[in-house]
Amino acid sequence: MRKVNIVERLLMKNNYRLTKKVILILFLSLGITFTQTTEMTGWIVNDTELSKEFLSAYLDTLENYDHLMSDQDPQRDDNLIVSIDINRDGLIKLRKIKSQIPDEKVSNTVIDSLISKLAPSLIEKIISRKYSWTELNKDELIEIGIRQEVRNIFQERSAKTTRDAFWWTNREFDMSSDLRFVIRPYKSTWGIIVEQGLPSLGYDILSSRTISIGVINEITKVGLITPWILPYESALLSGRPLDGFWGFNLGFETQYLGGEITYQDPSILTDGFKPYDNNTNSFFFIPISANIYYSNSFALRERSKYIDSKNRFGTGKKQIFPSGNLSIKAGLSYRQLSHGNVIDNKIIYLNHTDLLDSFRFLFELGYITDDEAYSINSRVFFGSQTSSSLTFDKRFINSAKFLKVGFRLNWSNSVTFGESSENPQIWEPKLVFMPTITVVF
Amino acid sequence: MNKFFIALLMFASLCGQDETKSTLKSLDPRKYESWTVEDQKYRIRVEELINTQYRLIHPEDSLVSDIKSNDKLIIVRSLLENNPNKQLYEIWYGVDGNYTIVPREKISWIFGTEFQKLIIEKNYFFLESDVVFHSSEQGRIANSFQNINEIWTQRSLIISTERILAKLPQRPDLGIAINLSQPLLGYPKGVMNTIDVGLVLRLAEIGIQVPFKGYSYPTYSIKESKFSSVIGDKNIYSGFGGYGRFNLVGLSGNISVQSYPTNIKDINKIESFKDSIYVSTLKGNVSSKINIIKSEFNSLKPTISIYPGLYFQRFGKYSNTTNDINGNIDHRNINFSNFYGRVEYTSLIKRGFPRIESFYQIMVNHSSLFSLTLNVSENLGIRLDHYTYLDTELKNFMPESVLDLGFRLKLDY
Repeated sequence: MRKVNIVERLLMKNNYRLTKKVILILFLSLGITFTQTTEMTGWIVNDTELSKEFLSAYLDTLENYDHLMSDQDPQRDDNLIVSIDINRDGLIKLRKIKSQIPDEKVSNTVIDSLISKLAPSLIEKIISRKYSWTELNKDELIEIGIRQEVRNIFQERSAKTTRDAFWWTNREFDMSSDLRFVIRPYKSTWGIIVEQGLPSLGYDILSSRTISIGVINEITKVGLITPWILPYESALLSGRPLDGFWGFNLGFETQYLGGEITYQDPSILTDGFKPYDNNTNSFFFIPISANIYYSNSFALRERSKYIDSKNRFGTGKKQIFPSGNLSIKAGLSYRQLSHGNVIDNKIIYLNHTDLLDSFRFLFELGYITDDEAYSINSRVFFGSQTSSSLTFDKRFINSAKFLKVGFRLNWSNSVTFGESSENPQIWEPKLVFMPTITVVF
Repeated sequence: MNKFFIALLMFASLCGQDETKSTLKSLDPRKYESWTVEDQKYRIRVEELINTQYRLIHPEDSLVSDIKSNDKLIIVRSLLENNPNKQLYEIWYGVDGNYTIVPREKISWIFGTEFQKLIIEKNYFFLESDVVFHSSEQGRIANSFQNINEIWTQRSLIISTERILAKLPQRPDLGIAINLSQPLLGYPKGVMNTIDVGLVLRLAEIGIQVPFKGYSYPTYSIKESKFSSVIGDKNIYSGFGGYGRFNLVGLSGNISVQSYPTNIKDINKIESFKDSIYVSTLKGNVSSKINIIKSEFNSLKPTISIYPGLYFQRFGKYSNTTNDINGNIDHRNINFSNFYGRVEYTSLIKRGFPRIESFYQIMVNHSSLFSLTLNVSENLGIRLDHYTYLDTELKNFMPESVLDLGFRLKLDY
């Protein structure tokens, strides 16, 4: 006899009754699944009197069951760890109780079947959480069997540190020789930020002859863009930078969304313009730009492997990836590139990139270790012109935590203006490399 | 106009007599400090701990109600308490003077010690708040009242003849705005033939400027004694651009930039123009807020603030003909930059409504604006703006004196 699976049976003609049954079962199971969706949570009881009351009652009950006694029985001075299930319908159920030796991360066993023999009022008192308590960290949650993703305040704290590090600073003073400079008065809601170049558009450090000076807070920054030429520019540049004019930038970044607009106007204080090419007085610059992107940060756990220790007994542990936080950004960037001349203090526009060529996709990936010993950030803009940048900082001397050494890399391919004309103009920024020293306090 | 403004100030001072004591006990500002939590992740965590944990575990506790997404969340820290686990003294949440208070005892039940420390650390987006120090409900409302020129709102939706602002239901810290006028830059609705579409945050707004002629709102020219909905249509070139508003460290500003035509073909796209057109390439101002009169903790007063600053504007004046064989067009820049000043007045927040909001704005050698909004209820306000243009060049495309009437609806969802 041929075996018929359930799908085939369902597909069989005239088998409506079975189909109905299966649909009904599926429907009911889904319903039950959704109504029983629960939130799990756990905590350490800080009320020592309550902990003692519970553990005394538990140990008294345990004495009646000699065969259940073991070396891992709790002590009366232990801390209590409680976990509960909160049903979406508002039903609260005790999940587990454990005890922990104070100041040691060693848990003792509390037998579930014995808890049910204790006074219900005592259990209710514990569940009601009308006392001081402390959250459990990720490892402690796992220990009590909560493996699902729990929104944890410890994670929020480190995610905030990461966002700060890449948005403004997670310190009060952050100054790098690439002329990124942030002063954030202690516990104040604002800071002062100075940035050379146009990093939010992929033209970092020396790739743009501009400097932005402004104020910044947790979510917003606003700055004045001014022309700026470093005296040692020629020693580090192999290509041609963007020219700088007066303008402004306004940006924002929340936990999930960020954006920025910049504007530069060559007709403001034109007589102060210092051309890169004195022979032609030509300029390449970005009159207007806008970014919009998704941003988020994630905690990454340490990766390590056990290795044989040749000079000692046992195995040693080698860290292969330090714990830290990953910051990602992805979005769309618009920047119009314009080419023109300044003749007798008069601005003459010759060309600019069209709408499609002005749009690029932006991706950014940053990582900072928990101990802030390393930080790396890469940014790529894909479009008719690709720009990429890489920043790296490392703390080399542990006793000098305020000092970091690193480098900045920035590269963009060339853009040709007026390709069909007799005299096409090529802007080629090429690669810029700059070693840096960063001081943080 | 000046007489009217002086009368308004006198009316305001007369109104500063009446106040009702609140059932909520105010706190001593020497013993406590307080601030609002603006970081969305931290807010959500507080909401979870109160709404989905404490309220479920203790449904019988009617004194602790659910936090709503538009509520202000105010943290009170005790300055006298040295134990960091006990410094979080109270948590207030609510709007318009109606607050739920979570006392110290319940804080230790609702929030774990680590979270309490995290909140006290203030290492997140927060704003200073004096709400808890006011002895009367009116004082609390006055302190947290967001006037007509503020970027942000506590309400979910604002529909007005000047602006539409809708907060995202899933992200109450973000809103989408469509601006139909630029009063703080000196122009009434519909005149610039553009609208601004942008994202609104607590302290900033950023977005794009889009050409839009569909909003032909009638304004009244006092000199010509007639309504017109085509001011600027024949003279102003509207193009794509960007705009932004910010309020940072006591500095507030508005910026708007627009693309300009480079070829005669760009101008020919416009339906109608005279012998020359004006392109508003750059508009902006920066000012700093100084409170002249405001409610003290134990004494209610109307609010009067001044905003001294600077403004800058640039118009390109383009001819509609060119001799260039490639069609390139020449232009002349008309620059305005001078002192900017604004005086804002909000009537004493008494029991209920009406509530008057008014401001007078002067942009030296450019324009002046007197604006009066009568909030007849919590949800509805009627607004009247009177613009006067001072510059001769501006008068080429703007009437000398314009009256502009509008309304504002504030709603929650």
